[in-house]
Amino acid sequence: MVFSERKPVPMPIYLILVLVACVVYVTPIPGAPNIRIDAVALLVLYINFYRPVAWSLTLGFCTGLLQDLVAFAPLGQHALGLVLICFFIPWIRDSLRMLSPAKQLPLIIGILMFLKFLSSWVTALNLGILPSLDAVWAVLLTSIFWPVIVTRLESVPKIRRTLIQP
Amino acid sequence: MPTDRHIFREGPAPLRGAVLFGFLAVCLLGVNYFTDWLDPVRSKALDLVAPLYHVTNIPARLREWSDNSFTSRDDILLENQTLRDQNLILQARVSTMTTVVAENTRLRQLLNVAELLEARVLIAELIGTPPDSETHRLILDKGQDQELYVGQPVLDAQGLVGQVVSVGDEYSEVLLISDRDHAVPVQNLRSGVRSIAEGTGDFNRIRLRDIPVTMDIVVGDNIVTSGLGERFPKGYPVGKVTSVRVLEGSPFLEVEIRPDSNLQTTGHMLLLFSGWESRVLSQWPAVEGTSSRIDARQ
Repeated sequence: MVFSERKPVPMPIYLILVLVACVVYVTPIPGAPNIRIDAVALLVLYINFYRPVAWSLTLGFCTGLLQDLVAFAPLGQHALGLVLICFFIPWIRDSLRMLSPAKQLPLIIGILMFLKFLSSWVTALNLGILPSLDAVWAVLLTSIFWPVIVTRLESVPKIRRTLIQP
Repeated sequence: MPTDRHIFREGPAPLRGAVLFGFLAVCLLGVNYFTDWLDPVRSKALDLVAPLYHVTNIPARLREWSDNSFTSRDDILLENQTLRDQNLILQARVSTMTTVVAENTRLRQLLNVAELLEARVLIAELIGTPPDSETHRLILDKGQDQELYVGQPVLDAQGLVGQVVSVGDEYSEVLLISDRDHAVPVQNLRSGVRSIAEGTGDFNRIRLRDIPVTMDIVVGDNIVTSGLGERFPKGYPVGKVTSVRVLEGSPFLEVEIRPDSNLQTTGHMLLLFSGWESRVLSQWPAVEGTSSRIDARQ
């Protein structure tokens, strides 16, 4: 049986990617300063979908804490969301990989909306509160970048492993 | 030793790990909400992370620089003329104000009320806004090195902007009056009705709380800080009343105001060091509720 697998992203590369994602995350969009591209969430989603590692929960938690610090959010807010994402993604990973990045968009939008809902609930300590319109626009804008991220990061060399079945 | 062991996995993440990290995150949130143990971490993080916001401002600064560098002579002359006209109007207003202030001081002396002290102000520049659209906060380029303290009022040219909630060595974080967590004691300038102005999460709407239906308040009234609570000095503009609604069955009005200050566009802020407050604190340092502020200032 032959199948292709990807190398996990090396830690220094991942740290650089997280730093770049944080810069993108805090950069205001001209004309719409309240709408930001959540590149950090996209990066964690990409790692979990395409380059899964054994310690994905630790990765999600630490990245979330960093995102909390960068966003001046309560510590744990983004960390909680990313840990939940890292836990649930493996259940849908295989079926999602069958689709092209463009066809994955509805699910990606759903996941990003879930993160926004969680942020709103945590920020207001109220489960009845809904994300603002800006948050919805931010999700839609962020999701547009999903195919771009997948295409760019997938260009990193892959390895092929051959397993010999007895 | 198995030959197919690899460090990446395809199976689901372990439930035990998810519960552990989820619990850790919830604990951190709880500590953050119910204690101030993480405040020093946030202050340090402010100094570490704020330079990142400087980086994100580079495109905007480049655009500003190019606009300034390539402005035509006619535009500069026009701007200069506008500023001269504005200066003339302001000087006229100041001369009127001098008379009013003198009269006010005399009346206060007659009433035996404490004299008003001139407040010291510091100009700070906005370097960025945190990306979370649910909270309304700003990062300023002044911090503890410039003697900023938690709770310090922040203004712009039009009115009240918010207050300082976290102070690093060189940077500070400001909570805007439109944030859901912000409340400020206010007063109707015309009728004197007092209330609390609460943020709604919308930059253009602030809600006035607990105003009985019998109170005199109409659309267009100016709302200013009342000075109650000793956090914000009295008389600074907050906003104008935009809607007054009577809710059926409720003894209170639903009043909304629009902030006077440009919460989304302003680039420079005034940080207010109010003289009267420092005097009160130095006279009664043991008063309950003021000690934390004294500590913050030290």
